[in-house]
Amino acid sequence: MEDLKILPPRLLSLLDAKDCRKLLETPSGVADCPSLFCPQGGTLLLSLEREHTAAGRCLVQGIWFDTPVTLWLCQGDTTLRLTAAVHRCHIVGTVFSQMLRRAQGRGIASAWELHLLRWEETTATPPAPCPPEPVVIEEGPLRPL
Amino acid sequence: MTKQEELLRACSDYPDFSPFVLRKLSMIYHGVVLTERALRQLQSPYYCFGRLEPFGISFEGRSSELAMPGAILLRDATNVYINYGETYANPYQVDWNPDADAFLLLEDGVTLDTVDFVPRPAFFGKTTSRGAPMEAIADVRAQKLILTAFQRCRLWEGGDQCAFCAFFTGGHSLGEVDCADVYETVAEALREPGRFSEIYLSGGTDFSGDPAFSEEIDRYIRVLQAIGKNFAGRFSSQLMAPAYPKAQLQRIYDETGVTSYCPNIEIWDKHLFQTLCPGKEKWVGHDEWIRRTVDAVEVFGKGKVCTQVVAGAELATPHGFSSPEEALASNFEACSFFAQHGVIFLSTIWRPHRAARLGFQPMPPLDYYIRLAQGLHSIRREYGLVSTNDDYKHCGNHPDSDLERMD
Repeated sequence: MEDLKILPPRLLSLLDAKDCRKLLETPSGVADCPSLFCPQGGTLLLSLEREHTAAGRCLVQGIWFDTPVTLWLCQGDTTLRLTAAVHRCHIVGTVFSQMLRRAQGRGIASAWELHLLRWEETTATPPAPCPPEPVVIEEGPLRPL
Repeated sequence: MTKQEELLRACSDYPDFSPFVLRKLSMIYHGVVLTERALRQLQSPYYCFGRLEPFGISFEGRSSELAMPGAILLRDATNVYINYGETYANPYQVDWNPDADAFLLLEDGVTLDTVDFVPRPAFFGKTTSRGAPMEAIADVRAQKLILTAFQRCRLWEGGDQCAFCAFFTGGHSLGEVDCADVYETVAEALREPGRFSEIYLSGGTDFSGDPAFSEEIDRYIRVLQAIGKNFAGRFSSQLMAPAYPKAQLQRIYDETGVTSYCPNIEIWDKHLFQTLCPGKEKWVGHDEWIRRTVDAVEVFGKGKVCTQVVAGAELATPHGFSSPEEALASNFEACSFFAQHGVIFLSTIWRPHRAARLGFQPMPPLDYYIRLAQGLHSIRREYGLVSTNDDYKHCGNHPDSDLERMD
């Protein structure tokens, strides 16, 4: 269990910026992660609408085999590359509900806690987007009448 | 060897196998006890489950004053189901650490990881308009709402119950559930935003009627219709019930909103099935059970019919296979056969129980469960089958479907 780093103000500000594009790098390209945010300055949170996807597999790989993941924050000419440990997956409970509320009516399949390991400003560009994948199974909550 | 050393060795022997699923297997194999401090913390409003549970299993080591928690959640959200109160020889401990504000998984006082528990659903503690406690109508898993249509199993009447079963041995089961109670309980459960993504209906076997099971089938239709009043059309759901003839399954599918069906074979080997599941043999029969399970795919569709084995019971004394290799071969044969016919064959882990006919006896070695989970997952993947209804978040009781998260 690694120590939790506090994110520097520059990162927090970029995460809060409406025009910041947030990406998770996977082996098959990058996946948009618009839900990524940092509610208390330490733990990064993101949710997935579907997890039978490259992003879902990447996060599962990360937590199962202790493999850090790469996140990209892009705003205008600024690109930051973050490396984070995948700490916890939520499918129920307080964090899951918090991320569900932020999804504003769209269902979520799971919510994830990441811990920042390091970050850098870079002139590199993020990889190409992941190709679209077929829906393997229905994901998301039951919707009553 | 400590449990942690055993786990690390398994990680080394099976480097592609999820360490979290290994931990789950190890926790079920060795057992878990909750410290007094953990159990007290689990009585808090966030966690406190009901004192009633619809499957009514008898446990000797439980306090009648404290509610037992829901499933343990590992950090990756893998669910671990423990027979709390069972006497284990060398169990893990789960303690509450107030400084860390977390539950800790321990072995001999050494912290291995943080864990959590499935939180209490919002409908627990409420009653239906008839006064029935909703927690006696429905149980929950992380994202699954579980209803029991008939809280009794008639196979016990002639001593024909499955040899590994301890359901309804607690002496406080309610018999047939009331449909109005079901409707109201489901409606209340669905008020909790995003909590449930599947509804599951099961119950004890009731062969009443002519032909056999006709009363049970009518009951399941009534209950599914009561649940369905909460939805506009079909709803993500599973009926776990005996293997019915295709015409009856078509009726269930047409008259309700159910989407999947799970007639559990329990044991694939014919001789062992007949010995360990005498009631199923008597009322349906091994070959007919399989035929009906395969036929069900024509009604529910490929990947929407499952069947489960109680993995490990096929090695139980005195009737079981004499080696893990024989048991693995039998289960892999079953998985391949069913996969060819679009049926998902899953393993659930046998947790020996004193109230069951097989009694409390050692489980097969951990290595057996690892190889079984790996093999079943691999066979199903080869046939393009994904567990839509029994994955890690809907059921969480199948190590082999836990592995599908990387597919």
